[in-house]
Amino acid sequence: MTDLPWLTVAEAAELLRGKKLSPVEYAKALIARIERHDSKLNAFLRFAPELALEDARRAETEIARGGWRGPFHGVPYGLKDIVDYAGLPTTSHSKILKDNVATADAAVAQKLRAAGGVFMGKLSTHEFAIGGPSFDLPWPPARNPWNRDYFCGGSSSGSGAATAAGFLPAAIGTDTGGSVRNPAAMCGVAGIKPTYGVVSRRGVFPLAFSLDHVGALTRTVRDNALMLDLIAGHDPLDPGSVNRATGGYTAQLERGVKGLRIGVIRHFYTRDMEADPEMTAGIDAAIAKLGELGAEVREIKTDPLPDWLACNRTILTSEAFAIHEKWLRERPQDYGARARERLLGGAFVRAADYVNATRVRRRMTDAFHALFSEIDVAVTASSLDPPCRIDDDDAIERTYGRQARAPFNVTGGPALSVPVGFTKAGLPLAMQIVGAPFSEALIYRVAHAYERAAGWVERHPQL
Amino acid sequence: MPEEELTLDQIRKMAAEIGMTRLSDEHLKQLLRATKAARVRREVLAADLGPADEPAHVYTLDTGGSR
Repeated sequence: MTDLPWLTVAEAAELLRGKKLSPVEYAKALIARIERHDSKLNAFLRFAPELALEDARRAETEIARGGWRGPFHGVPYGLKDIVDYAGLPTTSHSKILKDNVATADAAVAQKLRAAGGVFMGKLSTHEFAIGGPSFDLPWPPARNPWNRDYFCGGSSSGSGAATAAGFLPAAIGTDTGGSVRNPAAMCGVAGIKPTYGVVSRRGVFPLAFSLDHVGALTRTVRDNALMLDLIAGHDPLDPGSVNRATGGYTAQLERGVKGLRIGVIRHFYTRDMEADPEMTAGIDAAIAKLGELGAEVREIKTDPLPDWLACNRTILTSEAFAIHEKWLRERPQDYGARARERLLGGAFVRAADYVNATRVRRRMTDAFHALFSEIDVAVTASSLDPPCRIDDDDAIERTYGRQARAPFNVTGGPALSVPVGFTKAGLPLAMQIVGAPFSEALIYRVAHAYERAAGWVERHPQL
Repeated sequence: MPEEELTLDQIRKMAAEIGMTRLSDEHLKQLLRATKAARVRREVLAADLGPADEPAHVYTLDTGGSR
C-alpha cells in the first residue's frame, strides 16, 4: 500500500477494522515519512516513534482479537504541545516550561488513548499559544508544507503542518483568537473550533479562560467530525464544560445543502478590512459553488470586524496577563520576543476596560446569534491574506491581526475553516463556516457538500 | 479628549509600580508598544453601553455549581 500518508481517518478505520491494514505497518509508514521530511518542517517538537509503535502493536493485538474500539483504533494522531500527555513534558514551546513533565493526560489525550489511537508525539506551537512564529525559542517554528519558506499559521502550527504534510491524519489544536483555524487555513486542511464548553480544556495550558477552545485539524471534513465525536463531551473537572449531549457530528454529512439558508458576512473581508484579491476570489467562488449546490445565499451584517477583534484582544490579553504576570515579573528574558510583547499588552488594561469588553461581548454575541433565526449557517473569510514568508517580520506583523476568526471566540459559537483553493503561487486559500452554538453537525454538512464538489482534498504538498 | 502620549520613562515607572522591575530597555519598549495598542483597542470599544448592559459572564447559581 503506497498511499498510507494520505489515508483519511475514515479510510484507515475501514481497513484497520477489516484487518486489511496493520496498525504497525501504518505507523511505520508515517514514522518513515516524518523521519525523512520533518527536519524541513519542524512540525514535531517531540517526535515519539517508540510510543507510537507501542500503541500500534497494542492496537494490532486488540483488533486481531476482535476488539476494535472505533474509528481511531490504530490511527496516528498528535497533540499540540500545550496539551498534557502523561510522562512527557508539556513545554508550551517555551524555555519557561521546558522541563514541565505532565503527570496526567489532558482530557482529550485520555479520550484518544482510550479510543486506541496511536500517539506520534507533541507538535510545535507558538510560545504559550500566542508568540510566534519565533526563531528565539529552544525549538524552531513549524513551516508550511506547501512551501517551507512560508508561514504555516498558528498557534497550532505543528498540528496544521503535520496534518497537511501527511505525517498524521488528525491532530489536536487549541483556539483562543483563531489558533486552530489559522494553521488550517494556511496549510489547506479542515480545522474546527467547536462551541465553547463542548470539548474539555482540562490538562491544556490556558491562554485566556473565557476564550480558549480545544479543536481538531484533519485533511477532510468527515475526519474532523469523527474526531470531534471522540473528543466532545461533558467534563465536570472543566468549569467551562457544558453538560449536554454531544456527538452525532457525521449524521448530516450526506444531506447536501439544498434549501439551506447561508448568510455571507462579506463586510468583514471587503469593507471592514480588504482581503487579498486572490483570497476574496477564492471565497466568492466557494460561495457561488454553495449556491449551485442549492443553498439560498444572501449577505448578512454584523458588528464591524475591528470591534470584534478589539473585544477579543482586550479580554485575551487581560486574562493571559493574569496567568503570566509572575513569570513576566521574575524572568521576562526567558520569553521569546513575540510572546513577551503580546502578553505585556495586558499589563495596563484597566479593570473597567476588561469589564466593558465583556459587556460588549454579550451585546455583540446576542445580536449575532439572533441572525440565526433567518439563516442556518454563515460563511466568511478565515485569514484575509494568503501565507507570507516566515522570515518576513514586517509581513508577519502586518497580517497577524488581519483575520476574521476571533469574532467566533467572542461568540463562543462553532467555526470551521475549510480550504477553498490555492493562490497562483500554490499556497492555500480558505473560508470559514460558522453557526449558532451547538450546530457543529450542520456546519459539517455544509462543509462536506462543498468539499466533495470542490475536490481540493485530492491535492497534496510535495515535500 | 485624547490621552497624553505615553513615554518610555512613564512606562518604566508604571512597570515598577506593579513590580516589573526586571524588564530591560528592550522589554520596556515592547511594553510601551503593547500598552499603546491596548489603548487603541479601548477607543474602539468605547461603545454606548447602558447601565443595564451585563457582562458576558455573570455570576449565577445553577444546577450544583457557580459559573
